[in-house]
Amino acid sequence: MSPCIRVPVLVVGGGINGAGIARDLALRGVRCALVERREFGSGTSWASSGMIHGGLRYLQKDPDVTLHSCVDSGAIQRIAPHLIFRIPFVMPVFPEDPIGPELVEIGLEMYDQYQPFKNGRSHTRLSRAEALRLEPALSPRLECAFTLDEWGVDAARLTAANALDAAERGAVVLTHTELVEWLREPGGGRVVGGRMRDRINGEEFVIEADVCMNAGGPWVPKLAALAGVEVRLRPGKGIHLVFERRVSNLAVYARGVDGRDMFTFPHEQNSMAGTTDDDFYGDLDRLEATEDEVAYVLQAMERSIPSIRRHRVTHTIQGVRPTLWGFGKNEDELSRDYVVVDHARDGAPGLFTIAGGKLAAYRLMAEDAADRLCTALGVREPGRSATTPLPGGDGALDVLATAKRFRTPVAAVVRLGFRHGTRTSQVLADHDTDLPMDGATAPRVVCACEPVLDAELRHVVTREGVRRLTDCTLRVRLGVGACQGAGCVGNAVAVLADALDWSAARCVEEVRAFVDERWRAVAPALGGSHLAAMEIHRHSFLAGRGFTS
Amino acid sequence: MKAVVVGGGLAGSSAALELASRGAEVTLVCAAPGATALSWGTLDVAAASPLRRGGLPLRDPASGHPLAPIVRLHAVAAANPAHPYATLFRERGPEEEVKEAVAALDAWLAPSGLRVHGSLAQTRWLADVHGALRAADLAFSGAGEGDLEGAEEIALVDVPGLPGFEVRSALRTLAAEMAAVGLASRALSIVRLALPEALRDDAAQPARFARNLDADAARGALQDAVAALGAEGRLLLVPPVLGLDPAAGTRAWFEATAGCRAAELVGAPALSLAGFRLDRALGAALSRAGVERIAGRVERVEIEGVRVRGVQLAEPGPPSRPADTAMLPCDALVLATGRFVGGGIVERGGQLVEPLLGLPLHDLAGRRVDSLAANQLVRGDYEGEQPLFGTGVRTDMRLRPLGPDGLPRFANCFAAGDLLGSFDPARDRTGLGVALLSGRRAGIEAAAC
Amino acid sequence: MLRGYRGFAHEFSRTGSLRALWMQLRTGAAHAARRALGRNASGDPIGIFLRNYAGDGFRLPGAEIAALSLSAEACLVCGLCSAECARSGGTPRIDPRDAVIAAARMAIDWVRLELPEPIASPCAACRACETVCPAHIPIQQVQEWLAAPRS
Repeated sequence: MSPCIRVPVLVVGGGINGAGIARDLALRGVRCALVERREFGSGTSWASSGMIHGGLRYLQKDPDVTLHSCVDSGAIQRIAPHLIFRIPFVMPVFPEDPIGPELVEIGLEMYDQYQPFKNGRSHTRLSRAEALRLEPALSPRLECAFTLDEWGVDAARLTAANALDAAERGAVVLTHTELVEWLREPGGGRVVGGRMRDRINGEEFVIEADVCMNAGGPWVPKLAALAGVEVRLRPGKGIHLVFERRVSNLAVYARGVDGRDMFTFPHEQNSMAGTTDDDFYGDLDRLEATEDEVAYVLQAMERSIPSIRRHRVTHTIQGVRPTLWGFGKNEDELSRDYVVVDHARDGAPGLFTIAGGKLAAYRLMAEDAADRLCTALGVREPGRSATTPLPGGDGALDVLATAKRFRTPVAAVVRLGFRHGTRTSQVLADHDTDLPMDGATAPRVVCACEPVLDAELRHVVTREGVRRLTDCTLRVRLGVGACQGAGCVGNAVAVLADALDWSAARCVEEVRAFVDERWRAVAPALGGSHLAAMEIHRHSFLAGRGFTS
Repeated sequence: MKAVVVGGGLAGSSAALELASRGAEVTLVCAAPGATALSWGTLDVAAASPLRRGGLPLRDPASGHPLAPIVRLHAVAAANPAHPYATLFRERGPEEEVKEAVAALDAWLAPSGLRVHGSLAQTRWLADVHGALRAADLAFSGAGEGDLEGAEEIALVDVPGLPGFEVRSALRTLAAEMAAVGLASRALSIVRLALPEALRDDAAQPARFARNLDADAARGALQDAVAALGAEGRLLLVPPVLGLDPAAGTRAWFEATAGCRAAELVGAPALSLAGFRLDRALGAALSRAGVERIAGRVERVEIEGVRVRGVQLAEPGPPSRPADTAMLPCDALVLATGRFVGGGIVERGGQLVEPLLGLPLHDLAGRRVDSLAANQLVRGDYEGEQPLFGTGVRTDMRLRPLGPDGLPRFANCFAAGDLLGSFDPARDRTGLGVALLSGRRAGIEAAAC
Repeated sequence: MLRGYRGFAHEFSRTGSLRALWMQLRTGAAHAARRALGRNASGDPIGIFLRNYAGDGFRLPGAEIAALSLSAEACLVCGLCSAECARSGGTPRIDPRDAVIAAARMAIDWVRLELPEPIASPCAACRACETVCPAHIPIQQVQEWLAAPRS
C-alpha cells in the first residue's frame, strides 16, 4: 500500500495561482498539499512580463478590472516590498499613430485616478525635446510623449515566496511531483485526491483530500481531462527577448506591425522586450521562441528605439497564457478574466478549476478561489493574504550593515535583498559550514553575472526545497546573464551536489538538463555580440567538463 | 620578403615564427587576445573524449588497444573530408609534421618557462577543477605535470576562500571518473592549505592570488603550510593559481617545498590562467624572433588583381574613426583572425561575414552560409552538430582561402586557425592542434609564395 | 489641435461599459477645458521625473553613459582583464570584470543606496586591462563612472 497524505485541500499546480491559493488557505489555518510538476512558476508565471501593472488598457472596456488590479498591486507592495521595483514608462506618440496625443492623455488622466491605490505617480506630458532628453534612445520622429508609472516584480520569486510561506505555515509543498491520476470514490463520483509520482526518485504515493483544486495554468485542460471533465482554453504563447543589461532607463512603448502594444522595459539586471500573443498548439514542455517571433519583436521595438538592434540579446523567455476560451476574436482581444469552476456540475464533485487571469491579479484570484474552497469545506475563516507579509517582506534590509557583517560585496547583498528581503542575513549565514568558522572566510561568488553566492545556493537547497539545478534559474537567477552559465554552472552543481549528496553521474545529468534549457532559450535569438560568448560556452561544456555518456 | 600576419593567437604566432625563421620580415597585427588566451592548458591535437557522447575514443574498438593520437587525427580527417586536417594532410601524412610542430612550439616557449609535456605516442590523464578527467596527449607546464598515472596517492588541495573550486564535489567526480577508466587503484583525499591571515583576502581573487605566489613574500609566508601538504608518493593537485608568470617557477617551488609531485588542475572558463600564460609566452617568443608586433586592427586590405599588396591599420577597438594611417605593404598576408571570439567572423546586419576580405563562409557541412543569419544555423541538440560553430573559410591545399568560384581568391593570402571552416573545435577537441599545424603550414607556404 | 484627438470615433466605439463611458466623458471634458484655457498639467516634467524617481536610482542618462553601457554589453566574462590587472600589480577597488558586468546595475543601486562616497581613485588608471579585452571595452571609463560622485 503506497504511503498516504491526508489533507483537507489538494492543489495541483505550483504557479502563481496554485501557490497563492495554498498560501491563502494556510493563512486561514486550512492545511493543504501543493504539488508542482517542475519548479514553482516554471510554467507561465515566470515567463510573464514580470509587472504588477494596473491594467491601463482595461479602462475602456471595464474600469472595475483596472480598479481591482490597482488595489491588489498595492496589496502586493505591502506584503512583498522587497520583490518589487518601480518601472517608469514613456509612451512616445508618433504622427502616424491612429490615436492622437490628446486622447492618450485623457486615458492617462483617467488612470491617474487609480494610481494612488498602488503608490503610483501621475503621468506627465513631455514635448519632443523633453522626451529626447529623458530618453535619448527614443526615435526623433516622435511628436510628443507621456510618462506613466508601473511596478515590476520577480514573478518566479513571488511564486516561490507564496509557496514557501504556505510550507512554513504547515502546508505540504512538493516540487517535481506530478499527478498521475485523480482518485475517485467508488462508483466514479467524487474526486477525493490524487496519485502522485515524484519525478526525481520515481516514488509514487497518494494524497487524499476533501476538495481538489486544478491550478495547472495551460495544463488545466489536460488535468481536467484526467477527471473526465472538459475545460476549454485558448492558450496564447508569449515571448520576451532579454538583453544583456539595461538598454534604457525607462520602459518604452512600441507598436507592432500589427498594431499590438509592446514594450522594452528594464527588469532586474536587464531589459526585456515583448511580448507576443499567439494561439498555441504545440508541446507545452518544450517551448521555444521562433525566429519569426524574435524578428517581430525587434521590428516593433525599432520603431520606438531605432538603435535597438545594436544591443545584445542573450536569450528569450517564453510561456503560454491560460487564456479563457473565446471564439472568433484576436488573441489580444480575448478576455483576461478568470474563472473558478466547481466541477460538481460536470459530474466530478470535489474538483475545482481555476483558469484565466493575469499575474497582477493573482492575490484576488487566490482569495476568491480560497473562499470557494472554504465554503465547500464549511470553514468560515476570512482571508488574510493582503495584510500578512510574505517571507522576507516584513521590513527593510540594512544593506550596508549586512554586507559588512558577512564580509560580502555590497553589490551581492543588494541582489540578495531583492530576492530574500529581511531574510538575507539568514541566507548569508548558510555558507559552507565545513570551512573554518573564524569569520575570515566569506561567502564565495559562484556566478559573477548576477552575482550568486555559494551561501545562497546552499540556502535554497536546505531551506527552500530546491531539488534540481534547473530550479536555480528561476530561484536565484543562475546562468541568465552574459555568460549563460559557462562560468558558473560547474561550480553551482558542485555546491548542490555537496548539499544534496549527488553522485557524479547525477551531476552530469543535472548539468546536461540545465544546458539543454539554456540552449533552447539562447538559440532562437543568437547573433551579434552574443556569438563570441556562446562560442566560449560551448567550449566550456563540450571540450571542458565533458559529459559522460 | 615582407609578410603581415593578422591575429596573435597560436595560429598567427606559429605562422609569424615560421616566416621569421625562413628569413621573412614579419609584422604581426593583433587587436586583442582571443581563443588562445582563453584556453586552459591542454594542447589538443585530436584529443580523446571517451566519456562523452560522440567523442573520439581512447581505444580501438576492435582490438581494445589504446589509440595513438596520430591515429585519432587520421580518424578525424577521414570522418570529415573538409576538416583542416584533411586539407593539411591529404598529400603527406601527419606523423613527421606533428612531431616537428610540437618540438618547434616547445622551443619557442621554453625561454618563457613554458614547456610542452606529454607525447604523441600515448595519452595521459589529467584532472580539471571540477574533478572531470581530460584525456590529454599534450599539455603545457602547470597542468602538464599532473599525469594521474604513476601517482600512488592523489590529493586535491583546498584553498579556503578561492572561488571556482568546490573540492568535495571535485573529489567525488574524480573518484567516479577514475573508476570509469580503470584508474581506481589510487587513494584520493583532500588536504587543506592553511592560509595565513595576510593572504586570505587575496584568495577571493584568483589572478591576484596567483601573482602573489610569484613573489618571495607570499612564498615565505606559505612555506610551512605547503610543506605540510606533502607525502611520499603523493600527487598534489592544486587549483590553477600557481603563478601568473611561468618563468617565476611557482609550480616548481610548490613541488619542491611540498616534497612530492605537484601540478595544477586543468581550468574552466571562470578559473583558468593557462591561456593567459600561453598568450604572453607567445608574445615573448615573437619578440625574440624579431617579429614586429603592432597592437591594432586591419581596416582595409589593398588588393591588386589576385595579389594582396598591403594592409591599412587602425587603432584596436570597434571601427568608429576613419583610419588615417599609412599602408603597410606586404608580399604575403596570413589571416589568423579566429572565429567569433577573435572577430574573424562577425554578424552584421543579420548576416554572417568575414570582415576583412568578404571571403565566402562555409558551415560544418560545407554549405555556403555568408548571407545567412546566425540563428538560422543552429540546431536543437546542443551537443550535436551545430553548423554555426563550424563556420569558416574554405581553402585549397596550400591554405589559400577560396573565392566564390571555388578557386583561391588571392595568390599570396593564407588562412589558419579557427578561421578555417568545416570544423568544430569545441566538439572534436582539435582547436589548438589545428591552430598550431595550420599556422605553421601557412607560414611555410607564405614564405614560399 | 484637433489632430490631437484623432482616433476619437474608433476609441469611442470600443468603450465597454456605461461606467467607462461616463469616466471618459467626464475626464475628456475636463481635459479639453484645460487645454482650451492653455493650462498644461505638467509644468516641468523633467524636474518632476527626477524628483519622483531619484530615490529609485534613476538619473538623467547622458549620451556618453549610454555609449559606455553599450560597449560594456560585449563582455565575455572571460576574466582576462582581472588577470592582466593583477599582473600589472593593480589593486582596484572593484575587480575590472565585476565592474564591467554589473556597471549599469551597480550605478543605479549605488545611487539608490547613496553609496559609495566619492572614491578618490578607483584604480591606477593604467588601462592594462583594456589592452587584453577581446571585446574592446573601455574598462577604465567604466571604473571612473562607477566611482563618480553621486549627483
